[in-house]
Amino acid sequence: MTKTTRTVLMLLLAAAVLTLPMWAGTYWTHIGVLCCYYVIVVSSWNLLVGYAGQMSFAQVSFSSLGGYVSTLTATRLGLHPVIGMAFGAIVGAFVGYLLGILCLRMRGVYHSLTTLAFAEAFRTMLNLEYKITRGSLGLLGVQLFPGTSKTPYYYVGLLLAVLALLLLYRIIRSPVGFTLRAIREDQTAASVAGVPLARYKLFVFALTAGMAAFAGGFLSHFLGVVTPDWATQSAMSFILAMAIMGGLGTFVGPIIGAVGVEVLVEYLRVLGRYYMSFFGLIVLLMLRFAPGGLLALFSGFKLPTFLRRRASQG
Amino acid sequence: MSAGLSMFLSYLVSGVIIGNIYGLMALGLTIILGVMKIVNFAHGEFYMLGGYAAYVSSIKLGIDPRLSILVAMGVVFIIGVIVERGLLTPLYAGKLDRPGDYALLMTFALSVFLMNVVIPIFGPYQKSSAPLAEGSVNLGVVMVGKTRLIASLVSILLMAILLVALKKTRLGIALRAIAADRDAAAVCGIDVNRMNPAAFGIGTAMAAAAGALLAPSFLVYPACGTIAASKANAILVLGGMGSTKGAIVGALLLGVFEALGVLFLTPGYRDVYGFLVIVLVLLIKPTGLFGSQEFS
Amino acid sequence: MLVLSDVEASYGDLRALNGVSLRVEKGEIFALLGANGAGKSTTLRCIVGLMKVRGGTIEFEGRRIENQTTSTIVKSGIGLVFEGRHVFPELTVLENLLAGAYLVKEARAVEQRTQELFEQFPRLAERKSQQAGSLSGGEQQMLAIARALIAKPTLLLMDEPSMGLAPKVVDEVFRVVVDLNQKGTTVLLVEQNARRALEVAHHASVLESGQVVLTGTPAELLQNRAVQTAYLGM
Ligand SMILES: Nc1ncnc2c1ncn2[C@@H]1O[C@H](COP(=O)(O)OP(=O)(O)O)[C@@H](O)[C@H]1O
Ligand SMILES: [Mg+2]
Repeated sequence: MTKTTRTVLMLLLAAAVLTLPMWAGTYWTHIGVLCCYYVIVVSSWNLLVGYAGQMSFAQVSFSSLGGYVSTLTATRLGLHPVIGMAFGAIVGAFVGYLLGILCLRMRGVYHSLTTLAFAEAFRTMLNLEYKITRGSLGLLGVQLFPGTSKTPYYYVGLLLAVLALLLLYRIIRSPVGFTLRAIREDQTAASVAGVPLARYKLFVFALTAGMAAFAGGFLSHFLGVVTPDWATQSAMSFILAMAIMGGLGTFVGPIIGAVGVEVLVEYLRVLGRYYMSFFGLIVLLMLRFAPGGLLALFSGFKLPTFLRRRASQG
Repeated sequence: MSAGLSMFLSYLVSGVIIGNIYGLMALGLTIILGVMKIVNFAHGEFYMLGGYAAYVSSIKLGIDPRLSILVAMGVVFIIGVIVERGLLTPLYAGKLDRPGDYALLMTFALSVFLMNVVIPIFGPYQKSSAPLAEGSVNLGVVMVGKTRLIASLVSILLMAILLVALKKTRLGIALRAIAADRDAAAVCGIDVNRMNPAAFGIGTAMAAAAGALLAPSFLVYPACGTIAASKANAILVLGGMGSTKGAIVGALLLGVFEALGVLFLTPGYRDVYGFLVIVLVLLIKPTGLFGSQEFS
Repeated sequence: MLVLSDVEASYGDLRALNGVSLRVEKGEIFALLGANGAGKSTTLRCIVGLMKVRGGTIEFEGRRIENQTTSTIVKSGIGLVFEGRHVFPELTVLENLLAGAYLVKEARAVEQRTQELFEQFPRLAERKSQQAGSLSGGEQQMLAIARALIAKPTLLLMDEPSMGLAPKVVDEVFRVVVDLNQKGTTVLLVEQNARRALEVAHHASVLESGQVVLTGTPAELLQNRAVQTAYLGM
């Protein structure tokens, strides 16, 4: 592909994304908003796992936490949803920081186990604290915009996603991002080289949890509801699928994965009650046969991804 | 006896009776961890499959409920072997950059898949398999259903058989050798990669046994493995990851912790105590209570 | 008996063996010398199939064995005593031997060989039910050797068996090596202790940066200037 065709394609894509509500109809605009949400949640998880190597199964705990905190701030305190979202992000970052502190002491398997146990405990809590969360019914919330049009949500979502991606991109390209990758590759070596491991790890934990919580707050004010279903392992498997399909540990991969999987899922819904098992099967097959992601598959595994296949060795 | 104490004792006794069945499950997790060096995040779903297998066998096919436990173990053993062959072989092909993370992501995805794949087959609602016996026994502090008591005894028997087999049989020694030192085991002529399906099959069959044993007492539904898995994980951490004796002691300790938790915290959170246990234990001792990474 | 021709191997991008060629004759003790990091252990790992051979061939008794599974290679009669011993620490001494006898299927034969080895290594017999990890370094080395011998290999690869042992124990290790060689086992002995190795060997090679730079009889090697300065400290 020449440089000009590439530029033209990129411009066309940008134009299509920017004008989506005008040609795609309400249904796909709705999907577009969901895509924006997933782009933020998946890309931030990608920073935590794909770049910093801190495996976590708690990302959807933070997005649902953001949704609950933001909704409660708006409904109970009567504050504007935007304040709720900001507050949700702060709470999310704080809880992420605390989980980070717990995980600091733990290596490898213990670490992932802790995040998984945390996610389960959190979901149980959402179900049990009926007085605050209304249990499995979920909380009804406040819409961000009056009226039923999805268009304003789409543009706000797009703006948030772009801002989040810019932030992530700057981090990844900065010395901080370089250090995070060094920690992922060999944390002992990084530590020996004088990297304050704890500070870096807590930073990514808090930042990525805060971003997920912010996105969750936004989603709750778009859908007008937040339920414990947001925090299930099935919900986490979506994040995982999106990141893996695109290529965990690459910058663009998870963005494409988020949109790709969200759109794919819309088509899979025709399978009715079989759709989640079919989706699960796709994820398994993808992990098994293209662990570096579909992008890596097409580029002949040239892209350095998180689970990439390395040059063969004994 | 004060009301608090008698409540504690009743929770303790019932906790230990049920807890040892989770111990059996954790023992399966331990064997998989020891041989394959991975934590099976889908362990709870093999427990769930064991529950469904017992349900189908005892209710739908009318097979004796006790025999159904063996049926469940056999069926899940086969599923476990297929899963290992189909999904986990890349772990040892040397082509992955991060086999540990691959295993975590893969078994996590597997757990979600299995949880969802049973919905179209059995529906989202709860099922119960045939009881192992009728009536209950008075243990002084608490009345315990005979089914639970028998389940507990069968679980102890299975653990004993497993431990003896690991100690005495050729396969058992081979598995322990691999767990201790993979390369050295290979040089003894043990086909180490062929042992992975064996370990995974045996480990998941243990989870299935636990699921089948608890299926008459607790209900079987697609997500029923989640709680069991969180308990087995807590036991694994309590027992020090990979020690078979630790798994058994860990199960007893978890029973005690849960009873204490019910007494001093709220009973509704009983199933979350596993998380608290994991956190507390790892904060105090990051390598688990028994401090060993070994499998003995 | 064992012929390596231009064997190449690497760890990721790092080339560890750049075409190693060796020839070990039946019935001899062959010493493989070389500095730390020269590729001695890697060579042994290639022979037993623990490491992928990326170029060249390995022949054992006329059959190509490179890149076969370790258990196949071991079945064909090769044993390995690892550098750093690698006993199974949580297994008892007896269980370590039973693991070593994995390929011996008849219980009677296992019993008999265990008995023979306990006679040969009485200290192991005394500690038969003790965990291997609790043995002293020398005892662990003997156990590692016994564990390799129980399968009756025709070729035994030994990686620095004297490493980290007290002088008296080193003597004992070398006595065992000579003894089992006299009973008919071919030995490929990797050693840093070049002087001792050359005392017992029939032939020897020197490995440097993943290549054989010198091969000959011990007498020839002992007279070589480079060997004298680099490995004999003269
Ligand atoms: N597991 C490994 N990973 C990466 N490089 C290794 C590994 N083992 C050995 N090497 C490298 O391969 C080369 C040969 O090592 P080795 O065969 O162990 O040497 P020797 O046994 O002669 O001391 C050395 O440069 C060493 O650093
Ligand atoms: Mg060496």
